[in-house]
Amino acid sequence: MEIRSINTYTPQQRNSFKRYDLTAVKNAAKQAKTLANKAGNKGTDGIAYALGKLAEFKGVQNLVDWLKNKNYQEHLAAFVGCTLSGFYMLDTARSKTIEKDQKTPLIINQGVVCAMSTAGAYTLNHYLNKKINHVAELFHIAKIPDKKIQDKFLKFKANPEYAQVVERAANKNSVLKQTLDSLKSKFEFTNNVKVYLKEEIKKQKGDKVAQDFLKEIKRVVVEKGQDKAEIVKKLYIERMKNSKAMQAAFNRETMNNAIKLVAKTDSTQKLTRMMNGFKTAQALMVFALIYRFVSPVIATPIANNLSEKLEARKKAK
Amino acid sequence: MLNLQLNTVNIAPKQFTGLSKETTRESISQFMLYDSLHDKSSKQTDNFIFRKTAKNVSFGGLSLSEVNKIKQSKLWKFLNNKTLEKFIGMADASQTIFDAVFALGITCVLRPAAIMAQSNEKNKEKNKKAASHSISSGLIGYGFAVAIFSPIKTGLNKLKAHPEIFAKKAAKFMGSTKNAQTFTMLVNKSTEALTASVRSAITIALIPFIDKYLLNKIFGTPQNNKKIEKQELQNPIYKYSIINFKNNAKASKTFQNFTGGLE
Repeated sequence: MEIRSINTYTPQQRNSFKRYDLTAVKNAAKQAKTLANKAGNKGTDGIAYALGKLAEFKGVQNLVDWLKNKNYQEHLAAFVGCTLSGFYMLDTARSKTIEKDQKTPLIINQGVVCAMSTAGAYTLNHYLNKKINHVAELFHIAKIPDKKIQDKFLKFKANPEYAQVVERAANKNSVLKQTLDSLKSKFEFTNNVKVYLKEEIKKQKGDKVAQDFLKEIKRVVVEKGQDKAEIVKKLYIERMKNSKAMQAAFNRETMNNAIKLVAKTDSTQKLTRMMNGFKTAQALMVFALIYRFVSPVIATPIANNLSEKLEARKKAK
Repeated sequence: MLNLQLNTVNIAPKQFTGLSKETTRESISQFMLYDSLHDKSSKQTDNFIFRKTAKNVSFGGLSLSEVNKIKQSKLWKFLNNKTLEKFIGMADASQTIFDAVFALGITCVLRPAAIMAQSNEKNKEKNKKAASHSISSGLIGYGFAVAIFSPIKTGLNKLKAHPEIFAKKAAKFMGSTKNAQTFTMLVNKSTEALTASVRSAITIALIPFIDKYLLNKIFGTPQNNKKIEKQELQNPIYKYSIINFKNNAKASKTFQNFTGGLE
C-alpha cells in the first residue's frame, strides 16, 4: 500500500503544492514589507520634523556654533563611552541577581575595558588611521575603472613629486587646469589633512613652517560671523609657499578629492559604492574588532587577577 | 635619486654630463617651487618637460619601476581580489545589517568563546560572567540600534537632505554643511548618552538569565552543589534531619547510641 502511494505520487503534484505555498508566503511577506516600510517612513519623517524643531531652538544653534569650531568629537565619544561603562559598573554593584563574589571581578573587568578603550581611542586610533589611510587610498585607486587614469594616480602614490608634473601639464591643457583649480578651491584643512601634514613633517624630519602653522591655528581668534575653517584655509595656502610638508599634504588631499571627482563621473557608481563600503568595513574590521573583541578578551584575565588579589587582601585583614 | 631621474630622462639628456645631485637640484629648483608654477613666465620653460626622447617612456618622467613595485606588491593583489570586492559591496549595500551582524557575531560568539577558552576551574565562573556580559551587551546594542539609533540616523539624513521641509525656520542654519555635521554629531552622541542608563540597566539585568539559560547549559555549573548544600542547611526540615539521627543516614557512627535527641 505504501509502495503504491509513493508510485502514484507525481512530480506535478509536488510542483503544484510548492507553487501554492510559495505564492501565499511571498504575498504575505510583500504586504508586511510594504506596511513596515510605510510605517517606518512615517516614523522617520516624524523624527526628522522633531529634530528640525530642535534645530530651531536658539540654544541648540548657539551650542552648535560653539562646538563646530572646536575639535571635541573625540572627547565627546570618549565621554559617552565612559558614561555607559560607569552605568554598567554601578548597575552591577546594585544588582541583586548577580552573586556577590562575582560582582568585583565583573566590575573591575568593565573598568579595565573602559580604560583600555579610552586610551586606545586617543593613541591607537591615530596610528591606525595613518596606516589605513594609505591602504584606503590604494584601494580607491585599484577600483578606478579607467586604467589610464588609474596609472596616473598610481604614479602620484608611488612618488608624490608627480604632482608637479601634473601642474605643468595643466598649464598647457585648459580643461585639466580648470579641474585642478576647482579641486584646489575645494581644499579644506580637515582632520585628515592634519594627519597627512604630521606624517610629512616626520618624513622630512622637521619642517619649521609647518610646525609653526600647527601651533598657530590653535591660537586663531574667530570673530563673530566668521568661520574658523575659512581663516585656517587662508593661512594654510599662504604658508604653503614656504613649506614642502604643507605642499605635500595639500597635494595628497587634492589627489583624494580628485579620486572623489572620478567617482562622481563614473556612470556605474561602482567606485562610489566601493569607497563607501570600504569605509564601513574599515570601521568594523579594525575598530569594532579591537574595542569589542581584543580589548575585552585581554581585559578578562587582568580583571580576574586583580580581583583575586583584592579578595586575598580582604581575607588577610 | 628622484631628482636625478627627472633630469636624466626629461630635462635635457644631451646636457646631462653626470652633475652631482646638489647641482642638479639647484638647477631644477626655480620651477619646481610651488609658487613659480602659477607664474605665467614659467610656462615656456615648462614646455621642454614634455619633449620626447627615446628614453622618455613614461609620461611623467618617473621611472615605471616604482609603479610596478606597487602593482607587484601583495597588498595591491589583495586589494584587487574579487572576493574582497564582493565583501565591500555587501558592506555598502546593507550597511546597518552588515554592522549589526558583525557586531552580534563578535559579541555573541567570538568574544565569549575567546574568554571561555582562557578559563580554568578557578576562574570559570568569573569568565562566565564576562562572557554573558558580552552577549547581553551585544543583544541590547543590536536592539537599540534597530529600534532607536538607526531611525534617528535616517531622520537626520532626511533633515539634512531637505532642511527646507523638515526645519522651516532653521533651514538656513541646517543648510551649512559644517553646522549640519556638528548637529548630527551632537544628536547622535546625546541620544547615546541619554539612553546609557537604560541600556546598562537592561544589559546587567540580562546577565544572570544568559548565565542560567545559556552558559550554564554549555559549560556546566561546578558550584551548584555547594549552593544546594547551603540552601538545605538553612532549611529547618533539613536541619532537623541532621539532628534526627535515626533518619539521617549520613550521621556519624559516634552518635548511634546517643539517645538524648530532641524532646
